[in-house]
Amino acid sequence: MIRVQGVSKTYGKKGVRAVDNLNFDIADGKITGFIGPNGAGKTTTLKIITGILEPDEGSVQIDGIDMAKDPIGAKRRFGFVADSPDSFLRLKGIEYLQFCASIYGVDTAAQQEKIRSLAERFDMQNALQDRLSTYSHGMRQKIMVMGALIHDPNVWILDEPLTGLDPKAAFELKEMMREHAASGKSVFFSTHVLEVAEKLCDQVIIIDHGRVIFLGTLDMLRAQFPNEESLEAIFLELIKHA
Amino acid sequence: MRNWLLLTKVLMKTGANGLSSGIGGTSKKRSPAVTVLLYVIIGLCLIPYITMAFGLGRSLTQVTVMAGQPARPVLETILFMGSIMTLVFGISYILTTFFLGNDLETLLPLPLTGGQIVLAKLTVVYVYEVLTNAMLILPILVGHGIGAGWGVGSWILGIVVFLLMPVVPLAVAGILSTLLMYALRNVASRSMITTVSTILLLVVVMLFSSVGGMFGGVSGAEGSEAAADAMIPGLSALSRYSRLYPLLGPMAAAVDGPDLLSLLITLAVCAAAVVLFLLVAQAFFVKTVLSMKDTGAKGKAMTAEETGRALRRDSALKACAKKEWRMLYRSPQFFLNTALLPLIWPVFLLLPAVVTMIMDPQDNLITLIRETLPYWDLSDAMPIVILVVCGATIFGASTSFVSGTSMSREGANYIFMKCIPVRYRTQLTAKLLVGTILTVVATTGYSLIVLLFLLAAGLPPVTILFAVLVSLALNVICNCFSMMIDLLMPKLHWENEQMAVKQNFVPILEMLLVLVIGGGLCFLYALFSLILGFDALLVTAIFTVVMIAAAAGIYALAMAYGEKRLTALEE
Ligand SMILES: Nc1ncnc2c1ncn2[C@@H]1O[C@H](COP(=O)(O)OP(=O)(O)OP(=O)(O)O)[C@@H](O)[C@H]1O
Ligand SMILES: [Mg+2]
Repeated sequence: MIRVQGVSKTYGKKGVRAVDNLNFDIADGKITGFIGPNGAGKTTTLKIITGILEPDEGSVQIDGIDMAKDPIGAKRRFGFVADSPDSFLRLKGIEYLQFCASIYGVDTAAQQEKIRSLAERFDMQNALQDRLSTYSHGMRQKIMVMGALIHDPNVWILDEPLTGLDPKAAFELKEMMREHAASGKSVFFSTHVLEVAEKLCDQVIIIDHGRVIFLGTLDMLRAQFPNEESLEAIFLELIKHA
Repeated sequence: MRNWLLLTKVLMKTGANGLSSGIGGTSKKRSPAVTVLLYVIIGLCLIPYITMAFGLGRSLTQVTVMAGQPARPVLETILFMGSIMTLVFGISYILTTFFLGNDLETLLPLPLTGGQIVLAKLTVVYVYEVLTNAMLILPILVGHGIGAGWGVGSWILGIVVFLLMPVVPLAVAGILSTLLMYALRNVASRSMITTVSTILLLVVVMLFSSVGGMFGGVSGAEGSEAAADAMIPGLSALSRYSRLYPLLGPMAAAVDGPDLLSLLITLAVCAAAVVLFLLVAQAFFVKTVLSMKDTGAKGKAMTAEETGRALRRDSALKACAKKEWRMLYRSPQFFLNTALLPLIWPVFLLLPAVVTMIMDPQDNLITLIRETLPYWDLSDAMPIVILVVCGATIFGASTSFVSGTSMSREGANYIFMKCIPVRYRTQLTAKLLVGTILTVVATTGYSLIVLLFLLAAGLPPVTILFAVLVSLALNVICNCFSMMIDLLMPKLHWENEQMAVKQNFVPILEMLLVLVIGGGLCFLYALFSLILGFDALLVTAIFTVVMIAAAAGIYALAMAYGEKRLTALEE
């Protein structure tokens, strides 16, 4: 569960408001898509939720734990995949996963099992003993996803997780998101690909210029725009008026 | 020409905001008191360094002039020091920038020649070196100018020569490293040959400078040979350094005169060096870069046994420290530019001994020690031993930039520091641990080897105990201090790893601060033990306790400050 209340953020002293008075809940048992044009404030929002940025106003709770009051407790609850996978390039895959597992307190036996099953699903068995610097873009993305999920977090927060993944990996990740939500936990991810949102999400949040302009199921969205035939057309219509 | 300027500008820009970046997000908040304190400390430390350097240049010159000697050898010595300094700080920078920058991937497809790319890169290194020299050498040079009573012409040419001083050393280093890398290109992986080349060239520089040191001597005023030199007109105006590095003569003469002809010679030599560098680069650089091999991927599955060995649950501190260490030593850009100097600085000290041994197998430092050893009386040596160990510790620690760039090295990765469930102080302690262990090895460790040797020669064990404790405490103090300065002004926006540690003047600043603060502590100890002559054991015991307490205090301060800074830090 993620609860975002009255969150605003301005970069720098008198820059633009990147996000403006956000209020929403990400309920358990659902996949929530986060959609919006470039520069809408998606990454900023996700960074605030994960404690990377401090909001100017408002508060964030993960599973009921307030990020400002108990940051460590809140950070334990989620797994986060950032938008750029080019980090820790000097580490080997297995070392990166061991690092993630250790800081999230996954014990030795569980590490073995978890890494084996994740590597199998993402087809990464042959890459684990190589350095991330030798990985392709998609492989880096995969290892980041694996690192974020290694401790079986309740809440998944993913910033454009599907970019660069091959069809099989994308399929696996979507499948895993479905399973995760089905087991009563929450998935919150940003994407530009409307078909993905359409096929995968139980609800979507549409953001533009730092404000939430729609929150609800896709059916509700279609009901609002009965004349538009595709989700794309609805989306374009929506941000034109925002 | 236009391409070169353009490219230089781009390469500079991507790393130019050394002092100002990373503090953006905090501007809204009131700076913590420690921030203010750190700025005050920086100011308080820079002033004594500049004053001391200035005073050194001036008094050395005045003494020489009063003794009726020409001032030029002093000038040559300063220029020699500047040239060596350029190389000591420049070699790792040149090699990592030339051969490891991931910008090569973006530059090679552009319609630029190898020569243009390398010249632009060398220019970036040059600018950095000039700024470093401005901090380290310029105060001495200005002191000399005042001591020697320079006229307007000398001042103007002095500045020109100061700017020209790094050109030849850098061009030569560029030529040598390009040739060396070309020769080694197929031998091992890119990182490996860059590391080997850097160490090789650095040892050559050290050899060069220590040989110069042995045959130099400021005005050649000591020793009968030097006195003979002084009597032969013409030769007396030359320091021994200028025999080692002939350009020193014209450079010094240009300023000293002031003499435009010497300046023209200097300019011509610099231009020739750059042209030669360009020719070599044009011929070999692209070939080398294209044929270097990166460590490849194995692409093999791990056996259950292998994963079993690799996987275990570490404490958060251990996991972070392991990660930190791996990221440091596996990145030559980081390792060579931050950790190499402290690890190999004893070579500076050993080289002269080795050289004398080769030159005179019968009568040298080693035989001298061996012969006089039975007569050494070390029972009262405590203050001297402690002082020497402290000095070595401070010097060694000041040349390590590991803790002092630990935050900057994170770069964009710092967002991970903020979103993982590990307390900031644990993460910072992990960084500190890596940096401190490294300087401890390079200072306490090396000292201990010598101390154990002295133990055999009769040094009381209690002296060794105190020396080790003080050295450990000083290491903690220096590392905490460097880390705080880095936290104060972290450089988080960089594209190439070497930009985090070079193109960033904070490490040089940290070096000066550590030297000044450490020098002050050493002076305090010397004051009480040697000058005021209090009981050595008592002074040493108190000093040790105070240093340990200070280390604990500054560690606590660094943690508290780091936590504040990391909380406030936004891109
Ligand atoms: N580090 C930063 N400094 C200043 N402004 C920033 C920074 N990061 C983002 N912004 C601004 O904040 C706004 C929101 O950016 P954000 O990265 O959140 O968008 P986004 O929705 O993730 O876009 P995209 O779809 O391109 O990833 C933009 O106007 C951007 O210019
Ligand atoms: Mg984004």
